[in-house]
Amino acid sequence: MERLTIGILAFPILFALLVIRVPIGLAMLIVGALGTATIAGWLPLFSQMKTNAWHLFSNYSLSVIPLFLLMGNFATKAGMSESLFKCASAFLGHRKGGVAMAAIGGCAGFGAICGSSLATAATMGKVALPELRRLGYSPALSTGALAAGGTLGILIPPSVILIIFAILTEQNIAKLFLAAFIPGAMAAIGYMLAVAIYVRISPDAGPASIRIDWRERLKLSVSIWHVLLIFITMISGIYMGWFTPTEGAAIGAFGTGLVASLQKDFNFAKLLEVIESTALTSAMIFLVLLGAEFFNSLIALSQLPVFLVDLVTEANIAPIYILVLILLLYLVLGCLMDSLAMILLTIPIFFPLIMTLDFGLTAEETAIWFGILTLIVVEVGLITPPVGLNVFIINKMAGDIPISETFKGVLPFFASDLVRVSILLLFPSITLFLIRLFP
Amino acid sequence: MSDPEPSSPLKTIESDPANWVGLLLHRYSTYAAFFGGFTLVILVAVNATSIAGRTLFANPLVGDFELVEMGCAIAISSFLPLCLLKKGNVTVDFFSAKFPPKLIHGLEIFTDLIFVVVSATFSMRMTLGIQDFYKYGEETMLLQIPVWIPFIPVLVSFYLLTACAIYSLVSHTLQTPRTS
Repeated sequence: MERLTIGILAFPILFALLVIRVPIGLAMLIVGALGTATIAGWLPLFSQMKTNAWHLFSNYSLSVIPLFLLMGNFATKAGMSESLFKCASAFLGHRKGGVAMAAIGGCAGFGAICGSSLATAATMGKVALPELRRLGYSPALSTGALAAGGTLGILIPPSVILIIFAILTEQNIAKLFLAAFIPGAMAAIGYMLAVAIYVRISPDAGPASIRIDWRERLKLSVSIWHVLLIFITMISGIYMGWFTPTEGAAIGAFGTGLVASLQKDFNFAKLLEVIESTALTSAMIFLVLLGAEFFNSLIALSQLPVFLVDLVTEANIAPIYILVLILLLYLVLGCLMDSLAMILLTIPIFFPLIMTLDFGLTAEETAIWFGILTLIVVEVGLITPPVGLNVFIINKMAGDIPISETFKGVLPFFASDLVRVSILLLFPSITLFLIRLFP
Repeated sequence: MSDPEPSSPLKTIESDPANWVGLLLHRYSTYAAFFGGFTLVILVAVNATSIAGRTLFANPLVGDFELVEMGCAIAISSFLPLCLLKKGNVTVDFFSAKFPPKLIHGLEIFTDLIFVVVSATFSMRMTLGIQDFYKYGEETMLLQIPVWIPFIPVLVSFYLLTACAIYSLVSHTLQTPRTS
């Protein structure tokens, strides 16, 4: 069989395996390995397997991932979500829908020290959901806002998905983090606007709470100093080159770990919980990475990316349409697949393609802009049916709300996502503003 | 991704599996994960020392990258067995949501089988890998630590993973499909 045919065939086979519930990492691994063996023979595959897991797991660039996960998991035990939410509601709570906006603000703050959407949704939900329900917020709005707010965990740096993108495409992690900052802030503001419009249309959904005076507000603002300190030290240190992303993650983990250990109710059992959830998520991610290593070497070997570039060059389609098409494909795939696997599966094919297209930007700018757009659209998959994980987490936490109600509540935020992606797509300079400002 | 709020890890050790093999494997996998977790905590300390050393005392920690790389490999591989036993690996559940329980049971066995083949192949190949490292005296660049030494816990984790995969296959095969 021709190698290109094998490369193309790999995709339907992979999807068939996914449909019958083979874990994503394992499916990529087995398809990649069998495909590679078919093209290049078993011997190179077997000799590769002697050490490639070791080399992957001991890759310095990847060591940032477990450390960022450790940081986020410590943060969930550090009482930070509570102070962030309290502080945000002191400022916003007196407006109509204000406490839902505060939940989003809290998520944004928590996203700054946690690179995972699910952890952000779960941690913030635990604090904010009872409060929203107590104040008489509609079930749809309270769960929808938290499910959508959770995606800020990934959209606001640090972000595990961006790290993987950076490693796959050999881009500078610090620059990607910096570029993600404005789109992340836009996401938080866009979600708050969505709440404002929501309560304008159905005023009963989000009653106003009492106004808090400025002295109290100031006091609560001071209470979140540790979050700010950790975030600023980490991000500025990584960006200024004082330390590597791995070291930044270690500093962050040290900071959140310290705050967690100072909590009154922190004990050894809680430390083990932190370790266990870090372990499970890390193992999951690295199994997918290991699978992707095999799958991507098959894709490279089959020369599918080259073929695709030729195809698109000949078809002579305007670059922007191709980009829109890819983003739409991500939206569809995101309904079915985990965001990490999606990135690992598609970036090796789409990235070379995007880099050959002319958007009037430098190569680095194109790469970063594409990375941020991809990040946003793959994260939308966390709140879209049928498998929007954030929606399920928050819905399960609420207990008594039908899932359809939560999906209904997510709609305005989904609309806000689409508006934001369109704006960023039409105006690349928004994403690139900060990296042009601090070259 | 895994559930960010797991039930207490110590509880699962005592309550989960029905027979002593499963119990033992659960216990060892959990200990392995804790061992890996504490390795990560040590890496945090290594990084902190390194940064403090070079910024405050202009005295960088030699070979800090190597320590992080080795520690990370040890930690990650030690996490794998527990993730397998706890079904922490992501699957696409959308299509199979309406599959009959019997079919799902069959597919679980199929997945287990792939897991056994993959983990066993890795374990065997990596056994040769460690021999190569030993034979050719491969060392890290700065600290000159022989690579086969940190490779040992990694290999042990892969053998434990294989054992867990076999256990999972056997116990699934013996199980009757859930009726719910």
